Amino acid sequence: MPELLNLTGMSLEFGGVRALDQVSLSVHTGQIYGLIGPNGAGKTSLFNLITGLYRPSQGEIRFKGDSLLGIAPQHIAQRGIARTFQNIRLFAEMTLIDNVMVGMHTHLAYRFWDLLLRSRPFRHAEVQARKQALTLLERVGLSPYAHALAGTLSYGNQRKLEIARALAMQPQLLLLDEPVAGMNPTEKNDIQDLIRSLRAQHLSVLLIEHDMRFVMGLCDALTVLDFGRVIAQGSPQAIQENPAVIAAYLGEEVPHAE
Amino acid sequence: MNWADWWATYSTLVLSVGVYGMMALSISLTLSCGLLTLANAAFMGIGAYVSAIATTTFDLPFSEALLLGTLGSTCVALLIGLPVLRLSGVYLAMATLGFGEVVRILLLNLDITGGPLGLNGIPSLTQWWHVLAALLGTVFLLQCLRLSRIGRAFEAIREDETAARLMGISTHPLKLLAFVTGASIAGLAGGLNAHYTFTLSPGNFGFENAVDILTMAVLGGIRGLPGPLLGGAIITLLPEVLRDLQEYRMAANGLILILVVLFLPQGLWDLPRIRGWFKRA
Repeated sequence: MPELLNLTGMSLEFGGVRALDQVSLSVHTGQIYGLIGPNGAGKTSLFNLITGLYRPSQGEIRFKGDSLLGIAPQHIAQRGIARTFQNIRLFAEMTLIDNVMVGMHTHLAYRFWDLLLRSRPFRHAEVQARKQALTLLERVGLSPYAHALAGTLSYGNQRKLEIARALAMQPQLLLLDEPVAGMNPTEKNDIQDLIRSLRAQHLSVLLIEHDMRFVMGLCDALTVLDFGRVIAQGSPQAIQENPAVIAAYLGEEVPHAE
Repeated sequence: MNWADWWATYSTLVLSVGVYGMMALSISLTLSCGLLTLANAAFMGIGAYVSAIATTTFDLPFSEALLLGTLGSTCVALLIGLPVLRLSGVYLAMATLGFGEVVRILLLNLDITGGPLGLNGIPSLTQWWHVLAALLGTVFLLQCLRLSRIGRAFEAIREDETAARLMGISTHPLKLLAFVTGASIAGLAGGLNAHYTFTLSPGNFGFENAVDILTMAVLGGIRGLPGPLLGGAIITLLPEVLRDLQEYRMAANGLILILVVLFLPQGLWDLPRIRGWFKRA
């Protein structure tokens, strides 16, 4: 499998605080890659680095072989990286279908004069986009609410809409930041199935999640972060047995005082 | 009173309803991207002065004068917009307000603009159908934008600019587009305005006018195109309706604005809320 995303020696500093310290990982095409670790380990910071919101103090990010350093967030998105947010960032006062169609912005290739003349390419592109948006909403189970405002959705449904909006960008790499937080077990299963179906379409997924059952059942490979450092990397099986990981999550065993 | 008399008395008012409808639409364009800019009065002033100088000093035909006025404000907006739109929120409002003052003071001190006396004896060339055509053209343009990817991108930028950028939207060019298009509309409105008021003075396009234009859009609401038109008509007609209040007119204006912001935060044209009232009734 070819390498899609490669991070080498990424460090990020806020003032004197090291949020990330020499993090390296690589995601292959068609892989579901998990990023786990306790709160404050630097997982979301890593997403912000990849999507261009933060600049690393050290290290290199390569996507399809090209460096992403110094590229503006919108151009990174145009290259094929889409993401969702831990603290949901939908366009709350827009309808569901419009939210998804914003995701298609860069793929709606009509010119300014097409739009003014309401020419055939314009109408065709808009009608197609609307259809695709409805299909995507159907895929995440939200088509009944297509014309409701995004802000009126329940928490779990807002997360689903974020995924639909990100998929509308037709990305090659999808970054999901806690996609099932606040969802019930049935919804979690639905999302798991959805992510598996994305893998079947050769889409790569990098996801942050605290639900261990979800992560272990879904991911092909994992990286565990703690205090900004990689403490373990490997298959779900290997991670579950890794003493450093167990220590980070459960605390270290203190020998009993004699 | 017959039709001709009525028109002789009220034509200025009727034309102003149309022109200020355009002004309210022009500021609603930047508001719809979440940008609070207060330069629209200044762009109107540039359009008015440029086209008035074109017809009086250079004897150009009205159509060319209007075109020059529109182009003038468009070009200035491009130059100002490039640096200023890097700002946001209150800072953007302050920068555009500052620009408005610069324009006013230039108009006040230049020779070609007639200094503090302004321009007088501008030919009365604006016909009612000029204003109507310009207004309909503006509505058509904005409606086309609203129903396209550009309109959706504007809304997305207003809702969450960072999220919009992460959707691959280049926000800076789009903000510039909104700002410059708004300035073009304001420039055209200014040119039309100059040719039915006969005189122009620098004070017409200062802070008070900038706030009036903002008030129109906020009062009407920016969720649809009828909102700014409604707001523009109300604020233009209000001084006539409240003529008996004389110097308390401005206070009444302010009071109305406070009431609207408190009870109709989305403005008068707020369809979901209006539907809600009917459902309850």
